[in-house]
This record gives sequence, C-alpha cells and structure tokens, in this order.
Amino acid sequence: MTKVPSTVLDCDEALELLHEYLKQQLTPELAERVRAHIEMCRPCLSHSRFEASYLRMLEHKLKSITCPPESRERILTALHGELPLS
Amino acid sequence: MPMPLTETADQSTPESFEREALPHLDTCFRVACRLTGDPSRAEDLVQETMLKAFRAWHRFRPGTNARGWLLTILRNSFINQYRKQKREPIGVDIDAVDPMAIYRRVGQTDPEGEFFGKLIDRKVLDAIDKLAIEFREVLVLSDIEDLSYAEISSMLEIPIGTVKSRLFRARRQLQDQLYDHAVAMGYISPRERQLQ
Ligand SMILES: [Zn+2]
Repeated sequence: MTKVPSTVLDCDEALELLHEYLKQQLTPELAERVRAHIEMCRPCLSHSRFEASYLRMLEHKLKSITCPPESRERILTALHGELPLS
Repeated sequence: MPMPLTETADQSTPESFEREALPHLDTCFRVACRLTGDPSRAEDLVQETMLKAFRAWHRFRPGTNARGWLLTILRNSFINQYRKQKREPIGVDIDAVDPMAIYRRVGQTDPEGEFFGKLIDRKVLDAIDKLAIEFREVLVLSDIEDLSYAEISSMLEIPIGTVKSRLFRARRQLQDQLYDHAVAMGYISPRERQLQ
C-alpha cells in the first residue's frame, strides 16, 4: 500500500499521490492532505489540472466503448452452449 | 446475520454468473480491444475469458471482486497467446522516471492541458496501442478502468512500486505522443509557444 507521510506533504509526495487523488482512491485523511498541499502550491495546482484534463479525456474517449451487439450475441451464444442462461 | 445453508449451494449457479459476471462484458471488451488492438481478436479473447470464467465459476467467492477476477483471466489468456506468438519475454527492466517531466514540457504552452480535449478519438486509441504491452496494460487498467494500484499489483503479480513506475512511464509516453500530435495539428499554436 501507499505509504502515508507523517508530516506535511512536499511537492514530490503530493505528486506521487496525484492520480490516486484525482481518481478518488485515497483514504479521506490522505486525500485531505493532498488537497491541502495543492491548494497552497501553485505549480502543483496547475499540474493537477493538467492531469485531470488528461484523465477526463481518456474517460470521454474510451469509457463509451462498449461490446458491439453482434459480438455480444456471439459470446452469449457460446456461453449458452455451456449453460442454461435465462 | 447467519446465512442459510442453501445459499452456499446456490452460489455458483448460471444465474449468479449472469448476475455477477456478465455486467462486466463491456469492461472486458474494452480492455481486450486495447490489449489486442483489434475488435475481432478482442471478441475472441472475451469469449475465451467468459467460457473459462464460467467453467471456474465454482471457485469464485460471491460478493468479491468479479471484475478483477474476470480481468485477471482475460489478461492471463492474452499474455499466454502473446508469449506464444512473439517468443520474447515480457517484463523489461524499468528505471525510475521523473513524473514531472512531461508536464514541465507541456505546461509552458498549455498548463491546463486543454489540447487533450481537442484530440480525435482515433488518434488517442492509436497512441495507446503503440505503447509496449507492459506499459499499455497498466495504463488501461489504471487510467481507463480505474483499478487501484493494489488491484493491478495483485492481478499482474508485480510489486506496487513497479505498477507505479510503469504507469508514470506509460503516461509520459502517451502524453508525449499526444502533445507532439497536438502541436503538429496546430491545436497548440506556435505563436502561443513563442510567447512563453
Ligand atoms: Zn507542490
């Protein structure tokens, strides 16, 4: 697991946690410390906006990709060969 | 609350497979597309994954992470095929990287990363597909499917530190490619660059 620094986060520590922070994967306590650092540090605030823009782009462009109906159909048919799905 | 014994007997049924595993079909397909770089190979890989998963369904503990379990099967199936085809070992040695590097380069011209929003979908997919497999897989699992570093670490059987260093490197390579493309396409104007 990610080690929790005991004192105020410096830039390197905040940046190491940045993606987990943006993806809301940190404990509330650790997230709060990253937020506190970013709020008072202009370069890290700017960097966090940049990385947030990168993650948003991936989300928009990739999360919308779904299994095409024909593929889904064929996969389910193969599964039906094995099991009595409803 | 004690569970009735019949519940245990009922846990690995086709119905529970349908309920717990099938909702992750799209996720599996998305990951398979990026691993194989080809929708029809992705379909084959997802089908193989779902069949293997169903045959092993009695080993799945209900209520645990079905998505992670399916993606592990999918990834292992892919890597086995990949090893057979390429015959080259996976898992290059990766040195520590400076996570600031790409932001330092881009930050002067587009500090908020607005160029990311101007990229066309195909270009982004192509750029991801160009990454070496050990970088591509961590990037897809983390930055697209939102798995935690710990989940990825256990899925790939590599230390969390290795997950992080591969991710930093993967993001840097991807962002680098996309930035070069954005400059070439004029999404970031040369004038804007000179002013800084
Ligand atoms: Zn800072």
